[in-house]
Amino acid sequence: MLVLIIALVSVFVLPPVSQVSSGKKIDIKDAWVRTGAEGLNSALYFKIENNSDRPDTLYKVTSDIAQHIMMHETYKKNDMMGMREIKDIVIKPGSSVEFKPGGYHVMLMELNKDLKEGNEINFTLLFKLSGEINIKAKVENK
Amino acid sequence: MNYSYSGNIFKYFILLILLFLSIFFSSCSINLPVKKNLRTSFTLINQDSSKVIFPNDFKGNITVMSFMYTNCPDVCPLTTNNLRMIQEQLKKDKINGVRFIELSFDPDRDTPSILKKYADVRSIDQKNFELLTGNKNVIDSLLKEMNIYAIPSDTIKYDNGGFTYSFIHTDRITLIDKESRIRKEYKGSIVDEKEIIKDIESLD
Repeated sequence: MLVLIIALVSVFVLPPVSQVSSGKKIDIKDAWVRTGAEGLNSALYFKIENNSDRPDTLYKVTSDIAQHIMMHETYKKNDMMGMREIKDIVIKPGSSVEFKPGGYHVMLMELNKDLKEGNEINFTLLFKLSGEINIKAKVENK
Repeated sequence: MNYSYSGNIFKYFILLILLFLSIFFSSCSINLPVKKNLRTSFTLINQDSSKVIFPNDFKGNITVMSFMYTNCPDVCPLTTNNLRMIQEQLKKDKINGVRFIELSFDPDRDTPSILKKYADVRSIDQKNFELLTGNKNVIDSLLKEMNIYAIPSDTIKYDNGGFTYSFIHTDRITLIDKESRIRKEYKGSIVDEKEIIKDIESLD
């Protein structure tokens, strides 16, 4: 009987586990941006956690730090490295996607100023369901 | 008589131990084979707009060389940072006589002043670290000599109608000895810092 009550409470009263793990449906963690010189390029990295029960899609990143901002992925072809644009990225419910060196990255082209180690830069990430999420990313020399 | 006999046995035993130890330690040391002897000279320009002759100007030094373009936001800066970390670790270990080169395969955009900006913002100690550019034909010949491929590709279109281009390229760090011979090649963006320092020590 006790087992039945616990089962009913867990199904109808408690929220799903994915929602318990974070207060936010979409969490942006460990954001950092690489050092870069004015007029040249850099990249933004972070981890997206989708704690909701629906898939969400990151489709744009904005900031006044660069003239052009796009999402790219680095790929390997034979023994060579290249990169290509990605229009958007879907984060499945209860999963995460990492933007990291050598993989997905937000490319910052024609920087409006030097990005020096220790600076903090504001970015806005646009999701189809969650809308705009503002983040701060620290500049790191790595 | 007996003492003399046992003394000789002891001497032979010590000699045998020494022989065994010398064979053991020589097999442990790194012996990097010569992959290529760099015989052709190439005239280039560094970040301070000074003329550089490669490899002649680097003869007598161990050289750690990589290949990049400054518009690359992801893989090339990783390689640059790996070189910087190796340089800093060598300083801490008080290992001198090593020079660093980053050769741009995008000379149309990577002028000396752009290379200087790229290095300055990364706080690279440029005393023994040179970023090189130059005439496109010369650079293409040097890339061929070093077995490096860099092909313009993946045109990136901006929202305002403008565009830029990126490269698909070899991801490489090359270790060159004091006699301008290539001794080892590594993946530039994911090189093991300890491995390359050990290799540098073996060439010193």
